[in-house]
Amino acid sequence: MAGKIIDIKTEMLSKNFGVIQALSSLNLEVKKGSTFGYLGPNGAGKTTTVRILSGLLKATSGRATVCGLDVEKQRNEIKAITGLLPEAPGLYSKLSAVEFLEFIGALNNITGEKVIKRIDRLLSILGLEDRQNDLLESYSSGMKQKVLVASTILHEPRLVFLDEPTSRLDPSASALVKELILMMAKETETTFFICTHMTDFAEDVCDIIGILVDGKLTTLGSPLKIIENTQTTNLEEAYLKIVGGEVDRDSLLSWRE
Amino acid sequence: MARNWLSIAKAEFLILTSKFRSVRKFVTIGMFLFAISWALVIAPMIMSSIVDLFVEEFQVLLAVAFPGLMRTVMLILWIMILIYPISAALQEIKIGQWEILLSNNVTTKDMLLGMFLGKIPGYGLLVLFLSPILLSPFIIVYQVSLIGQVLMYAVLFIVALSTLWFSHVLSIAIQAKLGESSRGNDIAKAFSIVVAIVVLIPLYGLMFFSGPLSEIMGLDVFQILPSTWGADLLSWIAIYQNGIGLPLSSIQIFEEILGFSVFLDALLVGVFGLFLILIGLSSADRLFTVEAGARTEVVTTVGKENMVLRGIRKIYPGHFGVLVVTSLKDFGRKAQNVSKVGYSIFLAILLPLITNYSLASQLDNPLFLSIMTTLILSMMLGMIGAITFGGIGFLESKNQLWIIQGTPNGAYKFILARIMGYTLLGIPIAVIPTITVTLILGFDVFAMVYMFINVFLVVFGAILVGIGITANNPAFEDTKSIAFIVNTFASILIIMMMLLISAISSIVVIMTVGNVILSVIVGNAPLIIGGALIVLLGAKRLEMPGTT
Repeated sequence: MAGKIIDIKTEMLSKNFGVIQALSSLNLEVKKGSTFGYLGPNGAGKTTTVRILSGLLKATSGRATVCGLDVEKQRNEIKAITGLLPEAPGLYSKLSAVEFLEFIGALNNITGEKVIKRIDRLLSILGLEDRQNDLLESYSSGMKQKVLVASTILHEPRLVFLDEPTSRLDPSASALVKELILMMAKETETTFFICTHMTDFAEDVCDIIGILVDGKLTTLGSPLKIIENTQTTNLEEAYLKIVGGEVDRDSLLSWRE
Repeated sequence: MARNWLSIAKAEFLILTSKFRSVRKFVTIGMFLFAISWALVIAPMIMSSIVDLFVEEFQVLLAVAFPGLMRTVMLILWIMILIYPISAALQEIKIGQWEILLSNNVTTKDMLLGMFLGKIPGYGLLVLFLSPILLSPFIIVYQVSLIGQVLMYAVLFIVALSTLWFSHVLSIAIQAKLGESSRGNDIAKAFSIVVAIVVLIPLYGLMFFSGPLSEIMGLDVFQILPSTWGADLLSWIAIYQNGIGLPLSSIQIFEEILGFSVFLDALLVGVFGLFLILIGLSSADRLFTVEAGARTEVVTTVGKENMVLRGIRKIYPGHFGVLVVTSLKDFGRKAQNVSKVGYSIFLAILLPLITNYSLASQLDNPLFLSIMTTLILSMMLGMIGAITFGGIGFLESKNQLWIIQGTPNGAYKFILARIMGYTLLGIPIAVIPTITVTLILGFDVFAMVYMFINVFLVVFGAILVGIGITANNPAFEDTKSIAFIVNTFASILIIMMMLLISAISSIVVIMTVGNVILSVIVGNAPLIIGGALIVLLGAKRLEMPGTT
């Protein structure tokens, strides 16, 4: 059943910032319960796509639906069933992890014992139980990212947008988040839309990869298929071949002359 | 290696002029040319025409009171030069840049000197614009010669530079101590608000107790202030270079008034400046020892909620209660907010007291005084309330806004909770000054209740205006942004206009209907209705998806 339902569908979705075209005619379908990896260089338009799909940004043209809801007309309904992990942490420095998550719960209309239990369990899973009542100002960037991950899934969203979820995490925390995503996708059929620069992370976690270059979706397919098509050995090599980021070794020391 | 300080100074200058980087040279040269013309031609002309307006007797009075006035003027200038750079530096701690410099082959002395020299053009302009206003009246009255004028400006610049250096060293020491962290920034901003009180209170104390202290110490107590040495040196130059033919007997009188001779004052100014430079340079290594920072040094663990917060949760058991409680915690735990509220209460109490004491002798009308006090309290708390509760107290960052906007009707819920939370905070903000002023000025209970209701309603209206304006144009935590400046001016302007309309409507109701309760309602309606409309507009705007 899940394989047939489309959770994200875009048709000719475009976004211009003045003369800059951040996103150009994006046509995309993401199935329910899948884990979609959105790759591309800095400024390719990944965050812009996420912001449009989560109802935070208006598209210049085109259409998009999220869980069957129109991003233009049904923003609040979309927000109620999706979770968004933004690119940079916007935590409240003077709240503790528990207080911040309680605040996020309240914004999503979940309060009382239910949310408190969820917060306790999530913080325990993420290894923050000992620091849960400390003010967030004293947290390291990795710990803040963990709190943000918890805030994104706290209300059990049907679809989760993750913008660089592991960029500030150490390897063990990154592995934990990876497993959490895989488990949620498998057991609860949660759809994940993940923007990332970490090709190894995307290769391990994502069923489908889309590569965006200068606002255009240039590649779409499973990691294996992309590697095969580009005749490379792993996703990093394939990615570099597609976006043109191969390194010219001879020129690397030319700056010393 | 050599002249690293020059590279640092250049970088500081580039930062200072970054807002007009495409026309940097043109604007800088233009501003300095204008400042010099201002100092030498425009300001003396304006001041001369002002001084000429006064009768000769006044000019004689100015000439006689010259040394005392010069000391006051220099004290004000000295405090301004001392406080302003510290306050500005504490608005935004950027010691991350220090780490880049320290990781290169740069000495701490180079850093200290370079950073100071880079700021000189900015502060130099400030001194160039201010000093002629302060010195011109004395120069005109004493008809000081051109050499005298050059010497006076030179002395003023030496005093200003040494004070700026002192201020620079202090601000670096404070920044290093606090470290670059969320908590450090918060404390720094709090300190930048109260720094004026910290310096002014001892000075007021000094003025008040100057008599007894002078008796104990056996000399004029003001002579221990560095600003006095500079002021007295300026007085000496004006006296010796005067063009009004001051007789020797008069000069001898000044010797008695000033206490120190011209040589001693010059020596003190020079030695003190040199002492500050040496102290700064010798402690450069210690100054730039960045502390681990408040983030790693202090970990605050939250405890059990207090009675008020528990009460709010009981009254509103759903999500609204949680949001209000969160709002209050977020606001109340920030040192900068607490210092702003404290500062506003302090000023709100002080201003009506000063005004009433000065008016009480002329107007022996308790009703007029209580209405006057209510007006002053309302205006003070209204303006500061709007800036405190709107401004940077509203949202920390754009990323925080994304999180709120990412939830269904998040912006509406957030704003409603903020209004509720801040309104609750508005109660003590209105109560404390009302009771204090009532007790000190001896108003009756009716006047106190009337004052509280009016002040509270104005604070409530100001909260709506402040939140509404900030929601329309979020400034986040950036006090140097154009959004923040625009919001501050807009909030003050709207509140002043609304209060004016309120005062007129209130008077009309009292005069026509004669009902005090109705006058309170009608009088406060414009600000509250206007504020509610601005909030609605802001909430709608904040909830809407962005276009950029």
